[in-house]
Amino acid sequence: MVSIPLTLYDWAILFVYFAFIVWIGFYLKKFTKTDTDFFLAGRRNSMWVCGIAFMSANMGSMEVIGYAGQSVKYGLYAAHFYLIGAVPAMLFLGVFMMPFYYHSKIKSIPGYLKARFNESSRVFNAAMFVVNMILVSGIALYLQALIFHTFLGWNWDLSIWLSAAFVALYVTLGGLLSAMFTEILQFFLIWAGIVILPILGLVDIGGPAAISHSLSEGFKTLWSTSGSPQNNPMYVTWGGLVLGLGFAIAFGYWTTDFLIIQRAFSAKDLRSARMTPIIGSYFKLLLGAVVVGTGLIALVLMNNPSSGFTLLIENGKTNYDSVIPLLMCRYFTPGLIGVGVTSMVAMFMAGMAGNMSSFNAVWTYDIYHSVVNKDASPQKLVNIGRIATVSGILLSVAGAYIARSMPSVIDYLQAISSMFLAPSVAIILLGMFWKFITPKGGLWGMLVGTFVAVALFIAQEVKLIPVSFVIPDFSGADAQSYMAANFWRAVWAWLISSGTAIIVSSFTRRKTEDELRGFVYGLVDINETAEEKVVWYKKPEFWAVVTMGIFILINVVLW
Amino acid sequence: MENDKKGMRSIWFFVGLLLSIIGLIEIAAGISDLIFPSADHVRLSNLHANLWWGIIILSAGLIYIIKNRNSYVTM
Repeated sequence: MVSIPLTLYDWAILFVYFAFIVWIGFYLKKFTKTDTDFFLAGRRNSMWVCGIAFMSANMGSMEVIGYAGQSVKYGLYAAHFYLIGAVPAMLFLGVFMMPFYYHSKIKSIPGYLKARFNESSRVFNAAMFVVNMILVSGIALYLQALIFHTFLGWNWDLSIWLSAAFVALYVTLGGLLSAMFTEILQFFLIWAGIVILPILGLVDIGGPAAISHSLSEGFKTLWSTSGSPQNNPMYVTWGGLVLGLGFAIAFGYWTTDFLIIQRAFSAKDLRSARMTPIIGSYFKLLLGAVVVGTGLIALVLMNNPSSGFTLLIENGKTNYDSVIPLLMCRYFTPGLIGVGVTSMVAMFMAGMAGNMSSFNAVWTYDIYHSVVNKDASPQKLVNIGRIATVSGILLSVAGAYIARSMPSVIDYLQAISSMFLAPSVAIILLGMFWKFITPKGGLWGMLVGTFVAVALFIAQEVKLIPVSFVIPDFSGADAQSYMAANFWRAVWAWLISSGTAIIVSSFTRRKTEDELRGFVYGLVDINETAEEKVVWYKKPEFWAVVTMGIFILINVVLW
Repeated sequence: MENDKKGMRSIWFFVGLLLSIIGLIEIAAGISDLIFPSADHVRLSNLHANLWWGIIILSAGLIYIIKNRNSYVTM
């Protein structure tokens, strides 16, 4: 067990952070009066507030600590999660999808499914989202407790319950407004704690050239070794990366996961809502450089035995998630350690607050208000939202203990995403861009796609089928292909959902054009989506093209 | 109470406040480390990263505070 020696200065920084978060919750409570205040932060936020909160909700522990570890495991291939696995989908959301979402005045993604299809689609999608959130929150809570327990030496149970109590306190008090406020504070803290790490690391190893000299071809390029799975450390081909990660998983997460899109719904106008994911895409690229860069520096140090740097080994298995905490131990002096530990805590808090604020919105609007009590007053909905937050956190505590008992939470988390997100994105995209899809087609598409993906995962876990069963271009070692299997399972789920939706739609009743108006491409009133006239350099399209240019340049340079 | 009538303080003011407090604590840690070196076992401790990183964080915090000291969001 590693223990970071905290000085008085480090404890003071940690104390200031916790005191600030709780105080903000109480400060915002008096400004949270209506259900729109609680669930959509009053719909009055600027594009910068929304864009930063959007990225902060994504900057949970998995994104930073997890992917730094994945960079040690997969080299530069881990950067695909920040490039093709994020940027195209974020830009598509901002440029094409946001006008539908924003103008339909929906309060959640399941709310869009109700408007486009029917009540059953909404309830099914909401139920899947709620299950997904509880599982993901349980893992986040477990990882937060792991940091407290491993690096601060705190008692395991105390670590879990204390983390849960803080999140419950500030999300219950101020809802999304409070979650977004603290997410923005956390965003700055996370950067303050992690940007300094690769800077010191580069000084230590002798500059960026050392990375190029020390690593083999497969670990330092993005695409040149993707022709055959055996040539790269991820055991994946470009087909799996483009179709699985770049399309099915990335579009599923960035364009339909209410956890992050909820931040854009709180924007004061359509342009701000559209700019939200585009602003986020710049920070995503920057985050990728910092996180993957840190992982590659660790890899260089590990390749050099005289550096004395090794990862934690637990029960004979390498703990890749220990990269960032161990590098902090290596380079951080008093004061810096306080910022580093606080930034790790902030990552978990940001992720958990995001999970819980979206959980309470979907539970309250799409399950309670839709199925249990259709006549509930706005005040009643706020109270139900607060109760849902506390209940959700209690369920997450149970989930944290389950996650603690599992051998690998990372593979588990990726599998959850591939099962629950791909069917949703298939149906939402089809429904949004093609009026041919009927309510029954949409519902059956989601049902069958989710069922097949879950069945494939369970069959793989109980060894009924090999891991490589879902991989069409498979030629590597079966046990090393989990990542490729996650990518391809998502592709199959997407194809099966789409196919089922199209087949069922061809013999079931379609909605009329009047019923679909505002929810399908081509049937939106131009006046509704008209934005205030702004100069060209303030348009979302301009900034999306700039991001796309940077994205292409990075892929070419690191080909 | 007067401030409540003005509305909610801008989030950027709070960002500045938090960064300034943390920057100040880091600078204090850096100065203390200069006078009483206690982190010789840490690699690159001779760079005194805590001091200059604290100064950068404090500077960023002060900019946010000054720019947003009178900024309120009307409710």
